Amino acid sequence: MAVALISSFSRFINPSWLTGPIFDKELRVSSRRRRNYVLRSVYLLVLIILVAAAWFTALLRGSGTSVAWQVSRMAEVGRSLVLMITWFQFLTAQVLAAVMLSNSISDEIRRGTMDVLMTTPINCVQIVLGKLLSKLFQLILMLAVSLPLLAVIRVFGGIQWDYVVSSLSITLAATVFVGSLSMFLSTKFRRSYLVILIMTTFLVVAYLLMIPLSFFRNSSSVLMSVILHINPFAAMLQVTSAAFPGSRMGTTFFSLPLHCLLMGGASMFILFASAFRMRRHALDSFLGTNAGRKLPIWKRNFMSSAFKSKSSFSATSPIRPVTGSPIFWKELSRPFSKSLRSNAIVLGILLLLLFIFYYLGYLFNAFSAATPVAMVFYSMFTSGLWMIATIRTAAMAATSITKEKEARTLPLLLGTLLEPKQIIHGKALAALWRNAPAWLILALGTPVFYILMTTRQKTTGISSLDFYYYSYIIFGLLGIVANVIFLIGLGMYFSTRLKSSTAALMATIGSLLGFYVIRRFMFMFLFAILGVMMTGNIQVALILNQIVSIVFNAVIGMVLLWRAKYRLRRDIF
Amino acid sequence: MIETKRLTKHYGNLTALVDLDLVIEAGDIFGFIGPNGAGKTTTMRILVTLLEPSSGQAFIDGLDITKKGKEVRRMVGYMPDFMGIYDDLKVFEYLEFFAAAFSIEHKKRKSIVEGVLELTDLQSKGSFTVDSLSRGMQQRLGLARVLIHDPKVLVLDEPASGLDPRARIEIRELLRELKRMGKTIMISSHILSELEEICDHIGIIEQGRLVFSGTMEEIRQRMGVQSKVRVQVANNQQRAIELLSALPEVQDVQSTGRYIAVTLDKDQNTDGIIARVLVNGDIDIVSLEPQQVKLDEAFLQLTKGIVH
Ligand SMILES: Nc1ncnc2c1ncn2[C@@H]1O[C@H](COP(=O)(O)OP(=O)(O)OP(=O)(O)O)[C@@H](O)[C@H]1O
Ligand SMILES: [Mg+2]
Repeated sequence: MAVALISSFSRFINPSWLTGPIFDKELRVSSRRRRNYVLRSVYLLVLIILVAAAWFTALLRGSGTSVAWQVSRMAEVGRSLVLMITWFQFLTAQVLAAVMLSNSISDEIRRGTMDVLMTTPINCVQIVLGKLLSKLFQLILMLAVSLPLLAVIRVFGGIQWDYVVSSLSITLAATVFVGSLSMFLSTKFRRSYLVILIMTTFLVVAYLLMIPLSFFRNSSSVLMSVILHINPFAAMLQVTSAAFPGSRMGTTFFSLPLHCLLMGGASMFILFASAFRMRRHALDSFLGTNAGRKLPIWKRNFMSSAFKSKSSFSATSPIRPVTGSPIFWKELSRPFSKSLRSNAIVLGILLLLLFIFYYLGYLFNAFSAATPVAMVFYSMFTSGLWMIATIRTAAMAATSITKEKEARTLPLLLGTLLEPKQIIHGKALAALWRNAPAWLILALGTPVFYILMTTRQKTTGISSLDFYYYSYIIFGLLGIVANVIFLIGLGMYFSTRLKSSTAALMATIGSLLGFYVIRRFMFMFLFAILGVMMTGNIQVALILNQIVSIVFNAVIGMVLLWRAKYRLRRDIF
Repeated sequence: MIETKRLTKHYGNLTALVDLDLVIEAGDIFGFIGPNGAGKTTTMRILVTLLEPSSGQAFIDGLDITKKGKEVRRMVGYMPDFMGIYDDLKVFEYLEFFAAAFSIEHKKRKSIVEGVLELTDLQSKGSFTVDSLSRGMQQRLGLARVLIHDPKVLVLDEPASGLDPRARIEIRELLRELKRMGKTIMISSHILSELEEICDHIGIIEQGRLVFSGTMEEIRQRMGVQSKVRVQVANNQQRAIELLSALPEVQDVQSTGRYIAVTLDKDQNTDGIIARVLVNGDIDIVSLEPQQVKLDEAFLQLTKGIVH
């Protein structure tokens, strides 16, 4: 008995059992995929551009000559570079893990290979682990690319290895967790972009939870300590601030090993839950035979809405006539009046949230007038909304053509009289329409916010809307329009170029991250040059930067859309 | 109606089509036959403007497919080998969507959709979601979709694959009906015998080359179809074999267990001879069945030479 137990246990922890043939197969396949090499090169490229930009910025800013000054300068530059790289790693690894695993199970089921796998002696846990580990392996290879860079920068001094090691462990733990969660969701949802959206929302919430932390760092409450241990963003913030000499160290209890242990445990739990779910539900739910299973009605409705996206609901719904652009009609997948109504409802909710956040900020201001807390709350809300709207828009655009390719309906569509222009425009319009409430709030929120600020001028200190505020409002609006064009163009382009939704999503989100980071540093660069040239009129520099990024976004977005139209007929099969 | 001139397609290093010359007359049903990977799907995709040829030309009703893409698409209906299905649409919506995509006026759509549903016998399924249909019904829905813009030319890639015998017969009936309506139909298959009854012309493709093109009659002649007769005798099988082997019309005699397989020379009505010889030889005949050489076997013979 004991022997049997031990032998089964040792079999269980034996690495070759744990990974099994799935791991083998996935590695083999991924080493054949060009996208993984592209990913690594792009990652390295973005890192190098970042470092170079930061380096030049630092050089432009300083003009001291003494050796001591130079050394301290170097240390400062080194520190900011390391910070940038570690945070970049932290974010990229999580986002990529979420994207890479978002269709790991559903894809297998969609292609009908899951049935085959289930008939082999391969265990569910092995399938789940094999998938996760092989993708993580790719990510770790990618992260390893930046290690030499970190080693070089260490020469500058100013940062301890300690920080690098702890930030890497937090990154790894967070990546494993996010990957497992994404995989779990992919046993639940058929569409990978749904998984990615949920994961994005999850990450945004985790990120937002980090912000109040900077206010309450010195409270020694248990709650803060719990947040530090279960939120990777908070943990990362903690080790970052600890790495700064002379930074205000929080008194909140935080232990890195405990954090990693907790994250690892949670990941394990989710993994087993995925394996279990796969056994129980995945097959019959995906095959649409869950009608026979006695599920509570709400659950059945939920599952069918998640799996089949409305098809089961519409069994009784009336046939809706095709009106207007057929592509736009199809993308909405429900009557326009209904989609209009739901857009209005979302808009209402968002507006309400906006005002709640604003008043929350205002209330806080009542007893601490030092900083415009309203601003912080407002930007928390808008940056969260902005991230979700960005990912949602880009993801919808990126999957719009690939989902036709995967369903093999693209040849049917291209065999009709529809021009590529009509198809691309219809899909782009649908992606825009379905995210319209969020973009509308983001576009109108800023002017409304500024106006509110002036009405509360006693507490906010903003007295009137001068020229700069008007220009912010106008450029803010134009900026959002340009940004949406850019997002849709980027997504559509990869959607026409690539075969699978995951590849398109990865390419889109990856290059989005790259673009934003590069643009941010372009801004710093521009700022530094301007600072040198005109001894710093900040307002002008800000507006100039706005103009540059509006033109950049709009032009690139338009060019990519045009390329997408051109490519649509080329990569059909 | 359909004509290709030295049509060639490369996929990287792989050559899928080599100098293909096809001619399909208006109003014909043309069977396009070949083993897996022969290039049938590739040819059809080029004809319906979804793929660009590497070289060569193709015309549909005199229109160059590379130059007049839109006009060609207006005229042809294409049913791919693996048909895509929008799983969140109803049958009626699915068809109406494609009607809209073929810029059919809003007012006319309803009656047209009802028309094709009736033609494909799917009237009762209008409000079903597309993915709830059985495979055979989905195939018929695919045909309904192809017909939605009343094309003159139909290009159907293995429309009968995965169907049960009954559904195959139904599809065949439908194709005959469409031919009566004056449509030109190009249809591909692996199986010669499946097309035998409905096709006017047959083209056989092998490794990207057209190895044969002509009518069913020509195929039979070209392949020197012989007839076989299977005989079962009650007694003295050995003597029966000797008697039969002596006949000048007989090419070959083989004993297969209880039966004797007799291969006769081309298309001579020789059944009578066998019976007479055996009766004269005082041998009792239990059964005597004439057997045509299966077209599929002939097809194998025909393509065998090219592979090696
Ligand atoms: N997209 C592609 N990329 C590369 N090679 C291709 C592609 N599509 C087809 N081929 C190759 O072209 C050749 C012809 O393929 P095609 O699909 O036309 O054959 P087929 O006659 O339709 O076969 P089947 O009876 O199996 O459907 C095959 O060798 C195939 O491997
Ligand atoms: Mg084929």
